[in-house]
Amino acid sequence: MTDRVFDALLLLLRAGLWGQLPLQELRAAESGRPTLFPLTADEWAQLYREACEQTVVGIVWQGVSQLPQELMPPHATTMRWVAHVDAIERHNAAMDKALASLLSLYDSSGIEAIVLKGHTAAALYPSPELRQSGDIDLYFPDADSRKLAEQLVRDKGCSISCGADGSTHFSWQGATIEHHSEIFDLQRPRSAKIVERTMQGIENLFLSLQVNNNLVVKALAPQPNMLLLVTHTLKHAMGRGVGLRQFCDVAMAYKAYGAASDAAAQRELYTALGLERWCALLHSFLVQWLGVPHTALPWETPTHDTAPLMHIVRRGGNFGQHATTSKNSGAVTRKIETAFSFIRNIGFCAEYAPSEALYTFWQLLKGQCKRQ
Amino acid sequence: MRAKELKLRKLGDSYMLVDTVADKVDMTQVLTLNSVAAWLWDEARRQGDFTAETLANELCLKYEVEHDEALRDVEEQLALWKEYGIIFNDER
Repeated sequence: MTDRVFDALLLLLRAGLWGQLPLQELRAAESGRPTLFPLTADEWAQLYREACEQTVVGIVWQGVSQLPQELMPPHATTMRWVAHVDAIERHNAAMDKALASLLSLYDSSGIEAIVLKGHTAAALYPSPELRQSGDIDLYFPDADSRKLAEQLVRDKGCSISCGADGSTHFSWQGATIEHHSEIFDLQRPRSAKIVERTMQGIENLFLSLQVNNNLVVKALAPQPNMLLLVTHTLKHAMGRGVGLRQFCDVAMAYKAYGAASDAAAQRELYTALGLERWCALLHSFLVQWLGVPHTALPWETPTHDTAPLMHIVRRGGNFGQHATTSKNSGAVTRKIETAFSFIRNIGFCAEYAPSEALYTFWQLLKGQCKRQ
Repeated sequence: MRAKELKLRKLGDSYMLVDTVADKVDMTQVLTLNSVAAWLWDEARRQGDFTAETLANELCLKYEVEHDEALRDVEEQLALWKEYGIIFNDER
């Protein structure tokens, strides 16, 4: 895919996120820069494919819908795209239904489950139904609740599998559910202690969140949710890859509550976690490519060269699922690929989150060896 | 008659309905509609239980056309939608 088509994708993504197509960029030729539009039929097909790989089909569609008639995609691409958008909306509705039913089951036994990541991230979008969702992640504040929850779903005939990171997963009404006993992806022991201490200082760690008209869930408060999104994105950037959707999640979270939160305390926390450089890179990426206004960032950071991060994004797509070697790989191949991904990104890791990378790699090796 | 619960989508000058056979992207049919047909679809969904007559009456009010002509056009459109399976006779 050419840079020009990828730039067009980013322009439409920004338009989808912020609801405003920057017309001056469509007419870039007038300012001496190369024009992004019109695209040829082949370029539209490439753009759509890339939107699929980055799992931003619905958001980009919102951008496309703002284009002037003469710049719209050709009929064939439009037909595929609209069918895909429709499928995303139906899938999300089905996920919401599955989540509501599972939470209701847990609630009837007095179990409190906290919804993490995807579903709560979607609620921060202007059109949550268009964000492509994956698994449903649930966190249980105490181990007994998690055990009881798993017994309940076993009793309903679900088969539960264990992940290398201590999570468990199963299928519920067509949705993949993951149970977690940890909220954050931080591996450095010191970081885990800092986070634990910080979380203890938050008066209301869990808040009610309206996911849609019929569903209210318990979710993380803004500050821990932000930390989760930022560290989760880092974990995937260091590992097998990260896609534009994950950055959109962070962008929407910053838009929703980034600037309103306690900037000084947050900055102190991220510095203590050794993530200051990662935050600076992430913020630069969000501003440069996703159009996040500086005012939405919790604190000002020096501008970084975003090329290394963009390279990872373009190489792997959503969570690295579209890197050329990872499709349909077997379990052993995937383990080798994950280990090699860390090695391949070693320069990036050393630059932006060295200590976290070291412990992540160590934990990964331990986890993979245990499962062999 | 009743219409399936399909969301009318607009892109530029085009209106589209996506009907799905199963929960798969490749098992769907996408119908493109002109603006009058799109209006008619919305009206059919609004009425819930509709006939060619009730739609034609509204079409006359909206577009200032003769009733017979409106009825003929509506019947033609409904026949097509029936063929595509996106409207059906209410058997209740």
